[in-house]
Amino acid sequence: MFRAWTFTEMPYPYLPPADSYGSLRVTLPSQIYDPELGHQLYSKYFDLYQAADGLGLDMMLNEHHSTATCVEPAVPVTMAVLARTTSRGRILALGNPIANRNTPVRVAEEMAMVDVMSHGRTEVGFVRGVPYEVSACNVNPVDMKGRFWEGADLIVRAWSTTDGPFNWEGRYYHHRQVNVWPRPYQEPHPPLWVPTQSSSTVVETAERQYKLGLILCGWQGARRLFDLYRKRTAELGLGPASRDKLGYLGLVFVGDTDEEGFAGARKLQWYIQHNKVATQFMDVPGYIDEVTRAKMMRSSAEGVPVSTPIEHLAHAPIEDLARDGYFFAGNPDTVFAQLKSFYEKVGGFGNFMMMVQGGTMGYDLVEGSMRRFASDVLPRFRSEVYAQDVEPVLAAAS
Amino acid sequence: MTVLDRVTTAAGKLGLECRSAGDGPAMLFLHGEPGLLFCEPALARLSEHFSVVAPSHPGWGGSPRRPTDQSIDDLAYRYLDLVEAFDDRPLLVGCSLGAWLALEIATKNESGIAGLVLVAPVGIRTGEPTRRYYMDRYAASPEALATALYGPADGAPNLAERSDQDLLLLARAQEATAFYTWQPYLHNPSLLGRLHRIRSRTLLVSGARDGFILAEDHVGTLSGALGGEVETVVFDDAGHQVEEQRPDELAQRITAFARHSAPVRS
Repeated sequence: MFRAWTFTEMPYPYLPPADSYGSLRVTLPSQIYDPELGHQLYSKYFDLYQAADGLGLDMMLNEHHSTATCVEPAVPVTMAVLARTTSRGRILALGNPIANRNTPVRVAEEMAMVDVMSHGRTEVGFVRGVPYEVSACNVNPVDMKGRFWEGADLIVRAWSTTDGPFNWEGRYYHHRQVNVWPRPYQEPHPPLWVPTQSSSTVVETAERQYKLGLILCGWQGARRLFDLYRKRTAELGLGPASRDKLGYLGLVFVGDTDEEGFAGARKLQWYIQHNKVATQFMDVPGYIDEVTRAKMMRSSAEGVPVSTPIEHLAHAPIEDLARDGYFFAGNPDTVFAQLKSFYEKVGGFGNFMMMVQGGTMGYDLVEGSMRRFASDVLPRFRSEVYAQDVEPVLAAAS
Repeated sequence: MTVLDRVTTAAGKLGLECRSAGDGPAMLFLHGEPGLLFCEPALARLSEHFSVVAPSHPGWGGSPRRPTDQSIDDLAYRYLDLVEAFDDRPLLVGCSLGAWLALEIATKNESGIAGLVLVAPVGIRTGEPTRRYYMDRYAASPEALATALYGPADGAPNLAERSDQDLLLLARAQEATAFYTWQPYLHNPSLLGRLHRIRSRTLLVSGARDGFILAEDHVGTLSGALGGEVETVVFDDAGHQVEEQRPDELAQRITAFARHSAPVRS
């Protein structure tokens, strides 16, 4: 089944002027945060997820640190809230920054607990985390990839081993008695995801047959990386990659009219427009490989500043961003057509993660968009596009 | 085979890319965070009076980092093997991180070295948990870091003039620095308590405009902990990267220091 996952980064949008701070990430003082407003925001965000659940949509959460853009420094906590306050939809963490957290056994425990609490509705993503969050846990940015995959392997082993303790004395993690209680509700464990834009990580994700999550890379980027996943899956003799292994995140607003849809999408642009990050927090040795960093040095020396990967989306017209597959906005027919076009251009995919809330967007505004998507877009897309044979889509896309 | 050839061959067997030049008393030069990239003038001046061996530490330049190379302490053992390849005891000269490495070497076994020169050394830390002993280079803007390392920011090397290969070497050096110095940041908590074991004569050089080492009592703490005679000198117009900014004066000072212990070719 084609799944639609609603998502908000749970931002704290009440910020001082951008020219009054050097970086929105890492160094913005928490004295700016009003806990009373924060409480109200959490109430709104959890109410929206409950509404999504009632509409038959699934739910996605993420985790970031030391930032106002996403006041969700512990995704197990927010997942646990949804495990108890929702009952139908699946709950996806995209994801646990396991290389940063450096405590894979604890992650295994938390995710197993949420899976049981949610009655088997959990899906678990492992993320490398963005370079500006190495400070939060102070883990060494060099060798992160090795630590990431060893952590993932340890977590899966911890879930899958139910006959008593095992030891794990690897390159990065040492435990003598690993024995996770509870064990997950789903067997052998919840479905696993990795979100990435890195070609090599896409290949590694395919080799483990985890689900692949792509975020805001446009249809061209999605096509390239989905094809890479499909190619590696075929090389492994596993046949065509199943569509449910492939996911894409876009910014989504469905209005009664196109004008309403575009207006809502412009409010979603808050997320991209409020992403000021100081250079030193993006340019982290080891997190970024030496070849890429050498090129960045050359650019900086020639006066070209380092920028975030999505900065070019901040002020582009919504129509252009929709055409390129970053935004899905308009009336229900328009959004349906955009989603159909995107689906065909990327050769098909099975999971649509939708950032539906950003900045100061209130409950009524977002709930209305979700409701229109759930009633007027999703059922039609499932029956008229997804349920059709995928082969003509692949042939047409190639 | 000359002594430089022998030591360079030994370095190769230890997996260390190595430069060597000069004639005179032996010197083992241990580079700092940027590697050997900006040390050419200093090495050229030093080689006028010394037989200089300058390896790239594992992770820098063409010296691969092995799985067993996890800390500055690990590297010290590799260099102890290299010190044994010298016929005459070399003068151990270390810059910043290289000076930390020199201290680790000397605390283990100083019988093979003729003396120590520590140029803007890191490697120790004292004080409360919230004391900023060194600037956090990973949280500083490029301009602030350049000012801290060089005095005025325009004293830093002009990277636009460097080749693509040089920039690759610099990126590699920065990655190696992050790997070895991330946590505990730029120090070994056990080192300060071991420094009394070093009884070699030591020259401790610092720059008056060093904005990278923030602890005002750093030189005093270090010199007070060392077990032998310590000579301190401050270069007024230098920041943290003394070997880059004052190569002539540094070479003169080291040559004069070495004369106390061994004849120096003038």
